[in-house]
Formats: sequence, C-alpha cells, structure tokens
Amino acid sequence: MIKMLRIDDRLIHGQVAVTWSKQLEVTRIVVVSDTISEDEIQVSALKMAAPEGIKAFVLSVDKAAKMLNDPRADKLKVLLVLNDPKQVAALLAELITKPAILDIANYGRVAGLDGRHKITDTVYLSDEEVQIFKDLAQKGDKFIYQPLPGDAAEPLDKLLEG
Amino acid sequence: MLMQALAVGLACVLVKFGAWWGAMGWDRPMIASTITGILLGKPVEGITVGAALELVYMGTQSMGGVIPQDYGLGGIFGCAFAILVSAKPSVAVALSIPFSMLGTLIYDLFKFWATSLVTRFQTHLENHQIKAFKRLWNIQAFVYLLMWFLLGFISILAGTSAIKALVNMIPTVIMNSLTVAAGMLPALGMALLMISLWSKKLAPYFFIGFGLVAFFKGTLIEVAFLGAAVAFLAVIGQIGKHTNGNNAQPKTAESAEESEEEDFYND
Repeated sequence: MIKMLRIDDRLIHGQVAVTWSKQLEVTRIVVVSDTISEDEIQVSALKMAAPEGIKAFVLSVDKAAKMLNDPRADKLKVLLVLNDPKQVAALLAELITKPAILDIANYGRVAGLDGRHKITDTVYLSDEEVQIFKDLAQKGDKFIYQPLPGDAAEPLDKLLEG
Repeated sequence: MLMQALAVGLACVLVKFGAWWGAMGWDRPMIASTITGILLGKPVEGITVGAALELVYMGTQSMGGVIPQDYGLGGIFGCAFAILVSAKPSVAVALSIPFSMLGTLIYDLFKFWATSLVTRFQTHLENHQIKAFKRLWNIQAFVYLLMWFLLGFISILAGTSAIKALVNMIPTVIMNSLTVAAGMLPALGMALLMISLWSKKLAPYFFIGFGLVAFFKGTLIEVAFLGAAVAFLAVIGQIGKHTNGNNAQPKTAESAEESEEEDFYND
C-alpha cells in the first residue's frame, strides 16, 4: 500500500529519508517524475540518498502507476515523493488505490517565487496550482500540510481559504 | 575573569571553525566541552561535564533545514559555567539549554546576512573575479567566527557573576528538583535518538549496553571499552560485505532495465 504521497521540492532528503520513512516504516521510496526519470545523474543521486534497508526508485508517472497498481505492490509499504502538482494530479488519476496520506510539505521555493502566493512557510503556489489542488479536493483527494511527523497536520483546503 | 572570557571565546571559535571547515564533529558537546575544559585549565571537569551534556543532546540532529538547538554552544557554556561557578554537572546541564537556544537565534541572524551576499558572490563569479570572490568568502568566515568569539567573550565577562548569584540564590528544594530534572534529560536525549535510529538491526547494541550497566554494574568507561570493541567488529563486518558486494556479477544495462520492476516487488 502507499503509506504517503509527499510533495517536496527537494525529493529525497533528511526529512523524507530519515524521519518520515522511519515514522511510516516504509520499505520503498518512489520518486515519480517524467523529467527526472530521464536524467541518469539525478536518478543515481536520488538512489544514493535512500537510507539502508529502503529501496529507492525514480519512475515516470505511467510506469509508477503501472507498478503501483500491480497486486504485488499491495504488500509493500511505499512512500511516494513528487515535486510537481501537475504530475501529482496525473498520477492520482491513474492510481487504483489512493495513498493513505496526501502531504504537501515543501513546494514552490526552488522553482522561484514569482507569481506564487505564500500558503505556509514552506509552500508557495501559483493560481494554476491552487486550482489543481481545489480540483483534486473535489474528487476526494484532500491534501494536508505536515512537513515533519511532529508537526500538526493542517488541511490544505482550509489553508487555501485563509 | 578576562582570561577566562578570552578562553571561552577561543573555545567558541575552535568549535565553530570545526563546523565551518567541514562536519568535524567538534560541535558535539563531548568534544566542545572538552576543548573548553582544556582552555580553562580543567580538562577533567571538561570531559565529565561533556559526557553529561552529550547524553542530553544525543538525539539532537539537524534535519533538512530544520535547525535544532545549538548543542555545540550548549556544550561550551555548560562546561564554562560548571567550572567558573563551580556548579554541579546537573546545574551545568540546565544552564546550557538557554545558550543552545540563543545559538540558533544568532545563527539565523547570520544566515540573513550570508544569504544577502549570494548575489554578490554570483556577480564576482560572472565577472571571473576569483580574488574578490575569495575575499568575500574570507570576510564571511571572519564575521562568522568573530560573532561566536564575541558571544563567548561577552557572556562570560558580563554574565558569570550574575549566573553565580542566580545559582546561589536558588533554594535547596528547587536545586534538588533541578538535579532530578537534569538527571531525566539524558533519558529524553536517548529517546529522541531512538525515534530516528531504532531498528531491529540496531536493537541488540542497545540491549548489550543496557545489560552491561544493569547486570554487571558497568561504569561508562567499561561500557565504552567494550562498545569500542563491538563497534570495531561491526565495522570490519561491514567493510568485508562491501568489498565482496563490489565483486559480485556486474549487471548489464538491459538486465538492469528489466530487473527494476522485479526488484521493486522483491525484498
């Protein structure tokens, strides 16, 4: 099962590799991105960032959906990490079983703040991206904002209103 | 007090230089406190207080941009006050905590300034002004170290008598509770460490250490001695595994492509 889908600009780093993977006891970390999965250097760097005992994969949206929808994936504990809301929406549309938690943690600071609104200290969204999350919420894919396990989980739709 | 203040200022510089130069681990309370103790002429006290402080800050680690307490400064000031005020290690632990908080605040302020320099670094690089780039880098390092020196120097020069008065003013009842509380902090430090480190693979080491103390009444020295031997065994085992692993059949590009999917499902 997919324990969590996390949106994080920095993909696999300490908060993901150590803290969350420990908290959720995952055995697989899958970075889903059509662009990064094409980039050999980034793929090998991301695989190196995975802690011992956890296998890391970097897959395109279609391949990830295919592999996660396979019944054999049900017994795995998977943490998905993405850095692009559009691809998040594309992946969620293809998944048969939705992730247990949808978490937006760090977003919008790496690509640049131009035209983005501050949602929280670590999340900045453009109008287009806000719309993506509103559409997802209508379909029942409700995100929370929770950078670390010790932080309180705040519903994203509440943050978007406020 | 001037000499002591200079010594603590220098300890701050040394410890922070270790963090600037590379992750040297000089900012672990164990090391930071020992350095401070040596500079203040009391290495034994430095090590003793350092061991107590290391336990408290054991689980504190910086995780992806989240700045925890500055345990290096906690180590320096905990040790300095323990020696200068001749306070018990438990009091040193309590006194170190506000300084470890202050440290992150000061570092944040430094980061504001350092971040504002990024565009200037960039311009120097674009114009191929390597000398100017290096100069700016050295200025930044100098300000970083000077700031920690001043913190150590001023705090000890101006603060020691106040801290002394404060420690003497605390009634015995509160002092006793403080000692009990400080005694519990190592358990908290250990618990914090285990949140991020606990695994079935590492659990035996925890129980070996616990057993040595609980059943054989081992002191820290005895536990550390056997711990070093066990660590050596574990590292040798790891190195052996890695060298063998490298010699294993190299995967061809095609088989790697096919096996990725299999690898995903199999443990």
